[in-house]
Amino acid sequence: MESALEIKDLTVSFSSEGRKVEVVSGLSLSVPRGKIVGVVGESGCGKTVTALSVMRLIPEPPGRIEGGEIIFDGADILRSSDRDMRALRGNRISMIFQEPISSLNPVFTVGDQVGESLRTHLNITKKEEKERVIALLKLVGIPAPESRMKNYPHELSGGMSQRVMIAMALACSPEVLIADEPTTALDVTIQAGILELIDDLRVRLGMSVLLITHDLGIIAEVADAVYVMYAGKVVEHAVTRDLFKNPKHPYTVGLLNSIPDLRGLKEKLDAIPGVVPSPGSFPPGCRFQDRCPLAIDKCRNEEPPFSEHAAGHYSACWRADEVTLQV
Amino acid sequence: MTLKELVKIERLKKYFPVQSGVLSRVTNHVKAVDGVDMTISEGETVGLVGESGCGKTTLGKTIIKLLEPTEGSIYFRSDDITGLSPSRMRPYREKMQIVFQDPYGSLNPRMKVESIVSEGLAIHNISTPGERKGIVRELLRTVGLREDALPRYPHEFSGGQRQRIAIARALALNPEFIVCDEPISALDVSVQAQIINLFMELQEKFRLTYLFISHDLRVVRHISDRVAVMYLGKVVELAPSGELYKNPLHPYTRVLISSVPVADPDRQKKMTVLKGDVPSPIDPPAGCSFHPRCPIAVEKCSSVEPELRDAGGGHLVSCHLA
Amino acid sequence: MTETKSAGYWGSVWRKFKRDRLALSALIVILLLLFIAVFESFLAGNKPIVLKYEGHYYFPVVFRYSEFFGTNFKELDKKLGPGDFAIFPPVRYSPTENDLNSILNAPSGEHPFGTDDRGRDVLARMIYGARISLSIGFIAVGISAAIGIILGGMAGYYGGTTDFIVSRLFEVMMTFPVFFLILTILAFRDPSIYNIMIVIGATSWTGVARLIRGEFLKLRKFEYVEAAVALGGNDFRVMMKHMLPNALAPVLVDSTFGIAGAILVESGLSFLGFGVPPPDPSWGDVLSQSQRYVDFAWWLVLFPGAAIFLTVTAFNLLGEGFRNSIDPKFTGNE
Repeated sequence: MESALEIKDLTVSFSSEGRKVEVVSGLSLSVPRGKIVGVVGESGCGKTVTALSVMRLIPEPPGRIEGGEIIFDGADILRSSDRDMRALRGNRISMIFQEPISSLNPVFTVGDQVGESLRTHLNITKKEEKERVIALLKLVGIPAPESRMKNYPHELSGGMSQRVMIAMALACSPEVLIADEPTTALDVTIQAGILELIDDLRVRLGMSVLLITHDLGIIAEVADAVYVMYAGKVVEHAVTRDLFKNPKHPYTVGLLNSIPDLRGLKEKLDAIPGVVPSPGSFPPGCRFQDRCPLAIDKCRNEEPPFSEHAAGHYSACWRADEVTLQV
Repeated sequence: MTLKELVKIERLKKYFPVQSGVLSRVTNHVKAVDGVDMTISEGETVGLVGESGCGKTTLGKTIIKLLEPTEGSIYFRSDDITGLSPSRMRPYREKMQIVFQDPYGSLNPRMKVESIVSEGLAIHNISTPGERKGIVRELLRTVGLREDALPRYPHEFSGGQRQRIAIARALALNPEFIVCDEPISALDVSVQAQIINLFMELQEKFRLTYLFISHDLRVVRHISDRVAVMYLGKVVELAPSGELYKNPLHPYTRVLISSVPVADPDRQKKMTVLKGDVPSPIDPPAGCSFHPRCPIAVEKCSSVEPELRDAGGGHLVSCHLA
Repeated sequence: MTETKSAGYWGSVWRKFKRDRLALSALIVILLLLFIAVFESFLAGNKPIVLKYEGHYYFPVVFRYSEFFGTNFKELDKKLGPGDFAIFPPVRYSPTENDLNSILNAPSGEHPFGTDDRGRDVLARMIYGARISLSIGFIAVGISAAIGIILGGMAGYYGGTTDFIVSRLFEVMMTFPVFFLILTILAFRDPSIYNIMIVIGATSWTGVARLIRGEFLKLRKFEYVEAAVALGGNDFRVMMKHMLPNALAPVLVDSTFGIAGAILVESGLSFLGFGVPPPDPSWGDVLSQSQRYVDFAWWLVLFPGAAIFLTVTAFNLLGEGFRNSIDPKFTGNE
């Protein structure tokens, strides 16, 4: 299938106090046109850094993109000029951030902020801008957009602010939308609405979405395919149903078993032991080996390759074929 | 049920004044907790769910008197502790503890783990300073931390480990009742499960009673014997957890349950999206406070406030239509 | 956990502070000034530090000896026999020693910083002035910090009526121009060095009080403070153990600036003649003499002016460096 966005072998490092630490190591993923691709992982796994790399928003220094390519529309984003990048950002590729409240500028009205990227990227009149802003706010489900656009961010609830953020991201009908934990700061009832909205817009506008989250439940609800990240690497990739029904990496199994079930009984959860490693303190060999119930000597010494274990189902595990949902 | 009552609250209210104008005159009140009745029995876990701003944290803090209630009564083992002065409250402080949400904000950054965990012992003059070290060591082992944590500062630990330290601090005084205020929401998924397991082990080991506050229905379902659902300062439904999830009676509970994303791609997608926003707790709607957003509201709902009544088998609900 | 040794809060502040060259130099200047202030009588004076006279050892700087009562040691120096010796401080003049033969001498080998209108050695007066200036700075700030912490702490912790009363008190205090308030008070009381310290301290606490009040209001909502209340800790314990240590860093920064301010105020007062009473030396006092001889006695302007400038700048740079090195990681409000 044709890719709207493709990341090849991306490596990003950050340096602090003179020490350079790899945060993302040789990451490859692709977002097919018109699909929602999920990236799951815990804190420090590199998922946000990946998203920021696509937007070329990694602060340099301390950050540095060490290598790799990010292909969008046939060209490598990492090699395009800052000017080209500005033309792309917020126009053809947009991003939604986790914290809606702090991502909005408190001194401008909602209308001003949604209209900003229209003014920057499109050559339109004031009247057209106003019409587009109203249409966008209506699209993301904000009631009474004509009066809402005159509000300041502090007058909006969390759900409303996140909708405004999405309206801003959608202002120029982007081809690719990157959503970094778009609902983590929100309540479940609002989360449901936002997820439904993103899916609805994908269908209507033909957007491709890279959805970054820590919640496998969200992935199961909306994503077509999943990449599971651990310690700066992709450890498993498959279409959503395959990944949930037949996981091929012990970390994925651990994550799935960590989530209490709504139908579940009061019993012990199969927690993954140990702590989430922080960049710079990854163990040798397979980076999951020190927390893995299946780890053998080989895992401690050699890094497993990321290989195909079933059609379209990739995993980086020496014992992938022995992995089952009940470890 | 023949269980003994441990904590009982009656018509509990907590209002926060809203000041405005140059003279800071109190013009209004945020009705964070607006008349809650609840009984928590020895050894059980009562889950408390609701969305942000529904008053669940305020309720938890008011029950253990971190906040002074505006109205109503709190009983601990049938002693009325509502109006007790700080000094007369002290013996009860030993029995009622709290674990907070933010493992970064709940530990004093200038104190070593040893002094953090032993502080309760020092305050209540339990054992000699020399013996305390041994007690703290034992506590750390109980919560799954190594002894070498003793001389360290909180910033040297990960979120999950910090939460274990906070739990050790709460356990130091041998409490009977612990309010767990979103204790796992700030943690990574794989670590959340460890902490949930720890809470359950500790409950068994020390016969603890929990009020477990969370916005995550999956976690609450997992750990609780009974679950209370809060909306705008009131409990709208309270039932044994299996019953509540199988047979939710309040329309708000139904929406909440259907909104939870489930890690099963084969599940029928049937998320119900609520209309509108949560109304302001300063001026909640008349009648049933959920009626402006309720998909099944009738005329009566906008004028008459429903009472929390037993719909059979200890399943309490406050809805005219249930 | 990769570190093996636990670095406390102040350890990490020091690590960051060390990297700031300017602040580190300021700290060295201040330590040097403190050294001068502490050992002033070993650095300047007309008595020898060690004296061997007629086979006995004497330490006239440290002890008083009845045998030397009324003795001019400079004369004695000439009368020393074989085997006797006298070690004098590097500056061989006392700050209060008049010498009518050398009035208003320009800097020379004998008087490196020159002399004033009574023939007193300016360098000696500057060395003794360091102690007075620094003690006024430190003690005045100590007084203002104590008042500020108590009042601000109560306002922030208890809120309500206490806060209302204390906050109005701040506002009243802040409407007074502090310098003129001090002048007025000193007009009624004798301007001893202690009165100057107390008056400066008692009129400049509003900054600290406001800082502490703000920090306490913020910290009051911190979960570790609530946890201490839940453990049964009383108000005093909660404030002293959990709130004050976490609120202190900005106060220390402010106090550093406050010391600079107090030294300036004292210099200003002395310059106007309301300061440390004569014959006690202070930098402002030396500077004030220059008023009359400014057309030629440049050394009376340059040296005390430079000393005040250097000290005030050093304290300000120290405060600045200190503010930058207070690591937000530890304050718990990321």
